[in-house]
This record gives sequence, structure tokens and C-alpha cells, in this order.
Amino acid sequence: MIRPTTTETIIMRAPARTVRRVVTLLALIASASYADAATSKELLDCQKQLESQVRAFSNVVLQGLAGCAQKVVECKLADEIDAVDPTACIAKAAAKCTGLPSKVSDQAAARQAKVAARCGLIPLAEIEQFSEGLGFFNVATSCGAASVTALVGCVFDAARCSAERELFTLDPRAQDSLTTGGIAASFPCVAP
Amino acid sequence: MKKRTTRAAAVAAVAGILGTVLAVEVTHAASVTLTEATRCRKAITTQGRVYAKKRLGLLLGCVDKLLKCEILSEVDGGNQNACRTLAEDSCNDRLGSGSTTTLGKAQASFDEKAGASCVVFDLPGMLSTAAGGLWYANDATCAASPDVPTLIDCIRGQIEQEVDAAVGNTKPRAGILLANMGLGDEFPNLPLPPVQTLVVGAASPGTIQPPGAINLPAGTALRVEGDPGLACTGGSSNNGNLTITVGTQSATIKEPWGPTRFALFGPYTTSGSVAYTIDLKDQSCNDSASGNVVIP
Repeated sequence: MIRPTTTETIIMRAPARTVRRVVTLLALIASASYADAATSKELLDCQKQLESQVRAFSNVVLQGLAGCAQKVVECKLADEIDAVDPTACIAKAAAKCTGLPSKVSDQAAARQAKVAARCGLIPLAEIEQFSEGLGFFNVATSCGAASVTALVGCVFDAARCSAERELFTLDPRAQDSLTTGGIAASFPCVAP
Repeated sequence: MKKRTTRAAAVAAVAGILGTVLAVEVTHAASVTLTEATRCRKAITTQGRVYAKKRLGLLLGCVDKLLKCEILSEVDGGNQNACRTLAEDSCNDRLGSGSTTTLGKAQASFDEKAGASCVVFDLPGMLSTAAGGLWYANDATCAASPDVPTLIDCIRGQIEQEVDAAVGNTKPRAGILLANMGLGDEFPNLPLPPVQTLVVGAASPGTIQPPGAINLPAGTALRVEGDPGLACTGGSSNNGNLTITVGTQSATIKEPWGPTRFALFGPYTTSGSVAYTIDLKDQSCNDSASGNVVIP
């Protein structure tokens, strides 16, 4: 029997070792995903990421909508109180509102992806449970979410609607302003 | 020739400047009514957003701390009482009911700044849904406000509802955690799951009447309170403790017992049994009971 040289041995063994490592890693991931419960750190990190992204998203929605509504209503108030021709003013304001719906949708998608990256490996059941979990059972049930991704989508949708309602509370003319700005249909929760 | 041209150019320049100044004057000469309407609207929206952001941040920050203690206790085990004490002290300082808390100051700041900016424009203009009004009469809850401060206060109440509901959506355990540390009444709009109450009764003073199996629907929280009759006889001190453990969750209710002091557990979301124990310690009286919470 001819023994391979040392170099040949290393070359021959390397792929086998790599395969073994990959298999071990996959087994670890599989067991982490389907067998082991999430650690306290994983749960807290998921909650923190969700909260942080939702807050930032709500800010984008509220700030964008409030800015648009303010520009339009200032034109309208000047017209109604001082009889200033609003045509040019509204055209200028509306132009600034136009890009808002796509900006908000893009923000939602990007931020949901970040949350999914942090929470995606935790089973939905653990995110739902109140004890040893994050307590999303009622949130998931009320919106029919059957996966973590769907649940994250529900939370973002609710946050967006909440930001829109908040704007309407602060500025009851906001719905009219957004209608004039041509974007009211994209923000249906700016309403009583 | 050259002098005349220079003079003509100078006159034209002056005329141009005057024209521009006059045009600017015409464009920006807003009436007092318009100025005040704009000022009032802007103050409410700006200060309202500032307040909403502050309230949201304070609530989420407090619940973060409380949740961390609970998750560490439930998942990793161990005594998290020190963690809870720190978190609760921090929450009380920021969110308590007094005017000196961080939240109290933020509320006062909104009321003061928004109110001061709307005094001149006044209530009729704010409520008016006609041309030039700010349309606050469209808010059914606040439309009947008799004066500017009441309207501002009402708008703040509406913002608070919205913010608290948003916290519940992002951190669904917030309502239970704040209720368990005694701040639940301050935040009635934080969503709570349905609740079933168990009053830990006394077989005799200082002795627990065993509750046996506790049937609890899935998704319903178990609210536990102590009967005042549990107090040990022979003493007047109010330092008894009722410690309840359900599964991995644990809480202590201090004397005096009754409906105002309680602890919420769960809710449990899958069918099965969760073991519970109730320990009573009051002066010389020590008693305990145990059993299962059964989720059908």
C-alpha cells in the first residue's frame, strides 16, 4: 500500500473536513431553529429591533405627512383669511407631497426586512406567548398572522395607521390638505 | 452723456429695489388673523408631535427595563428582584402621576406652549369648520370644549390614547408589566388581554383556602389578589407577603390585601397545565397551596 504524501493527505482531507463542518453548522442552525427555545438575548434583541424600526418608521410617516399638510394648509388659510390666490402656492406644496407614498412604502419594506433578519429565527409561537415570550398572541390573532414576517407586517401597518390618526388629531384639516396635495388615498387613516 | 446714463441707471436700480421691497411687502403682509391662525395650528402640531414622541420614548424605555427583568427571570431563571426594583424606581420617576415626573413636565410643557400660542386666535376660530377655521369641531371628543385650555387638554388626551395604543402594538406585554408595578391606572389605554380574577381566600386567618385546579381560557390572563382575611391574627402589622408562582412567572403581593393590589400572570396561549404555588408569609403564619392552571 502506498501512503499518500503529507501534501496529498491535507488536500484530500480538507474537503471532507469542510463538508463535516458545514453539516455540523447546518445541524446547529436546524436545532436552533426548530428544537431549542429562543434565548433571553434573542428575544430581547428581537423586541428591541422591532421597537426601534417601528419608531423610526412612524417618525418618517408623521414627519412627512405633517410637512405636506402644513405647506398646503398655509396656502389655503392665506386664501380663506386674506384672499391670497392659492394656485401657485398649492402647486408648489403638492409637488413636495407627491413622492411621499412611495417613500413611506420603501421605508416600510426596508425596515421590516431589518426586523425579520433579527426575529426571523425565533418561532412565531415564542414571539406570541406572554410567558417566556414577547406577548404578540393577541396582535397576531387579530390580524391573522401565521408567520413572523406576516406579524411584523401587521405591526408596521398598525404603526402607520396610528401615525396617520395622530396627525388627524393634531390637525383636523390634514385630510383636506392631503386631498388637495393629491395623496389622501394613500393614507386612509388620516381621518376621524 | 456718460453722466446721464449713470444717473438713469441709478434711478432704475433704486426703482427696482423699491419695487422688489413693495412686492415682498404685498406678498408677506399677512393679517393678524392669518398670523394667529397659523401660529396656533403650528404650535399644536409641533408641540403635539414633541409630546407624543416624548411619551412614546418614556413608555417604551420603562417597559424595556421591566421586560428585560421578566424575560431574564422566565427564560434564564434566577432572582430578578434587584432588577425589578431598579426598573420600577426608574419608571415611577419618569411616568408616575405627579407633576414633577418627566412625563408630568412634558404634559405641562405641551399645555403651556400650545395654549399660549392659541389664546389670541381663540376657541371659536379653533373649532370653526368654516373657511379660515382650524376645524377642531370635527373631533367629536373635543368639540364641546368650553375654552382654549380645555380644548388643548382634550387634544392631549387624544394623543395619549393614540400613543399608548401604539406602545401596546409594539410591546404587547407593556400593559401587564405596568399594571403589575401599580402604574396601570395611569395608562388605561394600554391594551390588556382579557382577565380572570382569582381571590386567594382564607380558610382561617393566616391560612390559605386551596384554590384547586384553576381553569383559564387560552389568551386570558390570571389576575390574583389576596383576601384581607388572610392576615395573621394577633398582630396589627401590615407586612405580610403573598408570593404567587405560575410556571416561570412569579410575583409578590404585599399586605394590605384586597382588590387594589394584584398580580397578572400569563395569558397562556397553548392548551395544557401550568403548575402554580401560592405562599403566604405573615408574622408567625406560613402557609402554601399548589395546583395547576389548566388551559383547555
